[in-house]
Amino acid sequence: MSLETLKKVLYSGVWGTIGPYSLKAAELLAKLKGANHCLLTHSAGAALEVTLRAVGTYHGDGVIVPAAGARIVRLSPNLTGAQPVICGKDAGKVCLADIKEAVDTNPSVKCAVLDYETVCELGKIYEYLKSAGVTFILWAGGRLLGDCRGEYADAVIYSFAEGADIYAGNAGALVTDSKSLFDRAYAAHNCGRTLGEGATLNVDEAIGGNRRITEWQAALIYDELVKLTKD
Amino acid sequence: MSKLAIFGGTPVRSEPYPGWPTVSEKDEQGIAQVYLSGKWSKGEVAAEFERRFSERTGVRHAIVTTSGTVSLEMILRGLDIGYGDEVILPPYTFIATLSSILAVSATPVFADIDPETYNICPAAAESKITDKTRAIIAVAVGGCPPSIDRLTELANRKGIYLILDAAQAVGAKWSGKDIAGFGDAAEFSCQNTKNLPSGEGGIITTNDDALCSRIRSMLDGSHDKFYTDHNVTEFHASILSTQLDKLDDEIIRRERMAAYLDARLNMLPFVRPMKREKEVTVNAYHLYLMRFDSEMLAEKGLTRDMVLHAVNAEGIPLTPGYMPLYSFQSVNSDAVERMTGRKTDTSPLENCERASYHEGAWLFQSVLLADTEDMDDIADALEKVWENAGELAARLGKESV
Repeated sequence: MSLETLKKVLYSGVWGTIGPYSLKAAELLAKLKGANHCLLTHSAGAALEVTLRAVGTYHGDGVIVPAAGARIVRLSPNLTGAQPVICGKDAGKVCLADIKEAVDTNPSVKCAVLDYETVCELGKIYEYLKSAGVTFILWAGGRLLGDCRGEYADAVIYSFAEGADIYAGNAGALVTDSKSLFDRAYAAHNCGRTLGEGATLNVDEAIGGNRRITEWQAALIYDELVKLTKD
Repeated sequence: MSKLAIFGGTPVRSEPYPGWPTVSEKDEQGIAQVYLSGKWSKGEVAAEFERRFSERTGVRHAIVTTSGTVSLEMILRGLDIGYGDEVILPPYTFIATLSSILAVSATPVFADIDPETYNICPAAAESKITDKTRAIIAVAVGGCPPSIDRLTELANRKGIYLILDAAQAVGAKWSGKDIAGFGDAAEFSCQNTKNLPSGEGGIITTNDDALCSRIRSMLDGSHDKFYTDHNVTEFHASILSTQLDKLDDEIIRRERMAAYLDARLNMLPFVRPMKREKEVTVNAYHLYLMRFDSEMLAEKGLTRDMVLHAVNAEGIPLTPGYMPLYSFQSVNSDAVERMTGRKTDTSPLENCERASYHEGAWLFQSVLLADTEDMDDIADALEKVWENAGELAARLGKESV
């Protein structure tokens, strides 16, 4: 099935710049995760970066990251010029008490990025971060089929790299219920452009780079998601 | 004198120009092989493409990435350019040149373009250099190399980096040498419309071993500060490889058609082809740029946009080109000030204003994959519009096109 889909992509001449498979696969993934919005990108690292940019983290802002966990998570604040605020112990999991300490001692904290593998008390952490006005981004990695869903965070990042539940060579996704976060991330991933009618910002208001997924990747993801939703 | 199509006459042309991208069985075989291999990332197809691109350009290192935009960002990061640093760029270019500077939190500084090439003017760039300047990004607009010798001399004299934004210039040559080998690094785009397409994609070239090593470490996560997963799949790489097979033939054809069109346009009084510096041995012609004589148009009561409107109705896909980057509302936004810690100078620049609003126009590269009769249609349409200038000005002038 997927090879035929790839051939369709080839002969359509639409290989990138947000083609039909990119949009359809994003819609299906949002549905699968029970979220309002999904943005597909060329990698999970790219999805995380555009989410940090969408949150509005800049030079001088603090971003909580875990001491242990995926390296791409721990280094992610550097991409926007923000400062990583290391939280938790090297070998241990990040708990609510660690988060509270990080927020209390760092007034510049704007956002937290935690790795699903190295965090506990997820629900409590999210409730606390909400009350503290800190945006919570959860790195779920390749765990697309588990219970790692949007209710645990403002945004969840998934991977389609080698070893992930769905493999597309490489690719990533941001899943969120927030329309404004989605719109800003979309602009950050598509050279400042916004998606369709009803966007919450004008095209002139945003600056963005290119973190777009290709149709090759999106077609592979789409076929797998179709199979999953049928099952 | 035939009636203009915009007023109900018969258009010069009703057939579309060639589409893009073009596909062959080799593309299909390549994609199928990758798919069936089950190895879709970090594989030999991408590595082989990099070796091949390096060899054809004569540059020590070629690194394939997910876009031209991220390639520029990675070059800037690899050169340790960031917050507090200034980077000079032309305002007549795609927004990626600007966004890449902002992505690394550096401050963009606009320098005006040459009025005859629309590439960055070396003298204007020099006038913008301060003690904070770290680099000049010189864009090969439309695929035509900028004044590389003067820019290289300037960068060397001032001790700053020269980066070539060759997003549109794959295959272009300066003094017989591939553009990929000039400056401290160059970047190419392989987005869907580009002359070497893979849907999305980019290529970084450099002769600097240390820079290459830093960029690769950011891609594989071994860099001490940045982990930028802009790694392509093997599908990207396969398409790049098979599309590269036909690039040289297409370059020859585009050059031939462009020379023919140049000759035709040179016979018209109000429009001229862009100046090509003598060192430009190959223009990649991602775009065929031309410029109108705005004074001559004004004498007839015409504007560039009126002419484009009429020429489009004749079946010619001639478009107005870039808006100045400094005119974008977002450049003055609070977000940009937060990124860089400074306001960006968005003062208008004379030559860019003329190019963007009064004189510049372009055709997309696949138009040049057609035949000489198709080039004749372009010149004939422009000639027809000029012959009907009086009527066009009288009727469209009232509508304020």
